[in-house]
Amino acid sequence: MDERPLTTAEAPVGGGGSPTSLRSPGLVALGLIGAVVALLVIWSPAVLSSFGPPPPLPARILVAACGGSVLLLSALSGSRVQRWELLWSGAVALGVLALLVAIPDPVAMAVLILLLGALHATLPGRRSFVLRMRGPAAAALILGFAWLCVQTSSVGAHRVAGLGLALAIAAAAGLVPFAQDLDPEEPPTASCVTWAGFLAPALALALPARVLPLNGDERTFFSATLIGLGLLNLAWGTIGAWRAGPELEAWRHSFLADWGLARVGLGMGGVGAAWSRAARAAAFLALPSVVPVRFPLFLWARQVGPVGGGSGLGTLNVLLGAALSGAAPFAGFPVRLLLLRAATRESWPLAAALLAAMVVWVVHAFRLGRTLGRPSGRLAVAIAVTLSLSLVLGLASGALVAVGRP
Amino acid sequence: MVAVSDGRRGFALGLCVTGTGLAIVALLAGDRWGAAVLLLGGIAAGALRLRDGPSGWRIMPPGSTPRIILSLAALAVGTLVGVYLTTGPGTPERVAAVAVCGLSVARLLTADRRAAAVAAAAGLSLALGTMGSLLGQAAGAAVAVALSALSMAVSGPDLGAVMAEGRARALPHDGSQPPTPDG
Repeated sequence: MDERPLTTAEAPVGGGGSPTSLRSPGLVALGLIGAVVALLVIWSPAVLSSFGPPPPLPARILVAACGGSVLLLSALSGSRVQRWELLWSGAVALGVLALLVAIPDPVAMAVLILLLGALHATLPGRRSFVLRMRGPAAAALILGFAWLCVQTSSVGAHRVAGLGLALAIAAAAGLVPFAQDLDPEEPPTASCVTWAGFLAPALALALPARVLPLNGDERTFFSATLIGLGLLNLAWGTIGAWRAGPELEAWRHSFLADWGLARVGLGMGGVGAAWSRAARAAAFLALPSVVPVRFPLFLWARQVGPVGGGSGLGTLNVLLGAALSGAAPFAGFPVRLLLLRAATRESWPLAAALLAAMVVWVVHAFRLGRTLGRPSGRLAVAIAVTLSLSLVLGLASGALVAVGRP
Repeated sequence: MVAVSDGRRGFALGLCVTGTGLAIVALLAGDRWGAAVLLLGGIAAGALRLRDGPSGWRIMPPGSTPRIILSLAALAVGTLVGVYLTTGPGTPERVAAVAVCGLSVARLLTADRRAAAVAAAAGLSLALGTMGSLLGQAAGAAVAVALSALSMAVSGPDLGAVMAEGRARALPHDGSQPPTPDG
């Protein structure tokens, strides 16, 4: 891969000769501040509790996973990627993300989503600033209106709030119906997948905890919307990834499918029934597997570039396919097991739909595994580390759920 | 003003007026600290806008008629939402927040330049801030200032917008395909 000319997709994240860039000293300073804020939020010392309730533990774990993902990508990305730029840009995003998780006011969360969106939209890319701000602006607006509705005494407005909160998470993550196109020539860090793979998972776990407890009626609307959108994204993602022509499209759809599982879990977990604990645990496990496993793999697949159809599957490719398909003992397996366990107690049609989607999922997983080519050198090490992480998440899922208490 | 202007002075004045207006609404509701925060945020965000974007005022340039109509419609919808669809105290704040949010998002999603989009995002941040407590108001004001300062920290044009403009120019006006180099 080192002989190829540099494409736009491999352009430096922050500086250099790119036409749009954050000035480097400012980026480093902001990155340092972001890293300190993220560490404080993950640690959440008792001193900070005087400013408000501490952030939910699952969200803190996800912020830590995001930090690990930034370190992993900075350390193990290919030589064409400017690793320091990637590290500082990631640290800035991590800091805002940590603030987002820590702040107890939903309105403050909404404006921070806007800021995060603007920061991301200033990264060099082929889509315009306006186009890239659509999702964050929609998420901030919907969240603000939902909070406005929560504060009124109208029963109808409260139901709209439940609906709005679920839609705000979808908008922030760039899921269907807010999904955006993925330009093959755009740098991967500036693409819309960054929201689904890096920025939105912590938000999805923090937001319900900040706005809940809703009453039974609102909670039903919130959960039903999450389950409905989750199933839609699951079907869209699995079938889309299976039928997609370009490999890049298959990757984009695979994120939608992962988010579909997480949203169904969040929706079933929000109902409050006895079996909802398993669903919440499934959602909690699904999102950490996106951040340090699927997202880095996507970025590395973009660095590898197009792989010829004649290249066969190596051992790492097969293992990658197994990990991405959710086979045991990798991270996706306990997610599927817990989700099916909860769904069979809730409704058999839901369980059947989930099972069908999981079967279709296997088809595109091995195709995605092939997109990393025949890895060697630093890339092979990177993939081995990622697979190990997936293995740990799969084997230690029980311990992770016990620690996170989702 | 942010919705119907295309120049840096127009954006600056628009953000100042937005901050002042939202501060007055908060003051009428007895929220002095919130009013002060929103006023400062609006003025600071407006002042920072003076250093970025097309020069001059460019208020209501050719082609801005839909935006003017949208401004009037947003006020009507905001009033409707604030008075009829929500109940309880704080109706003026809700009308102001809904109207400014609606206009800002509409401007943000239809802007063709980054400067206009940033100004609209700053206005949206101020308006969202009014929906919350003092923490929300402070966050809204701070993010508005940060958004205004952000585009100054970024050098160069909006590459995506430049490319989109280039593609639009390359296409003939009758909708046919552009001629290829080999004829």
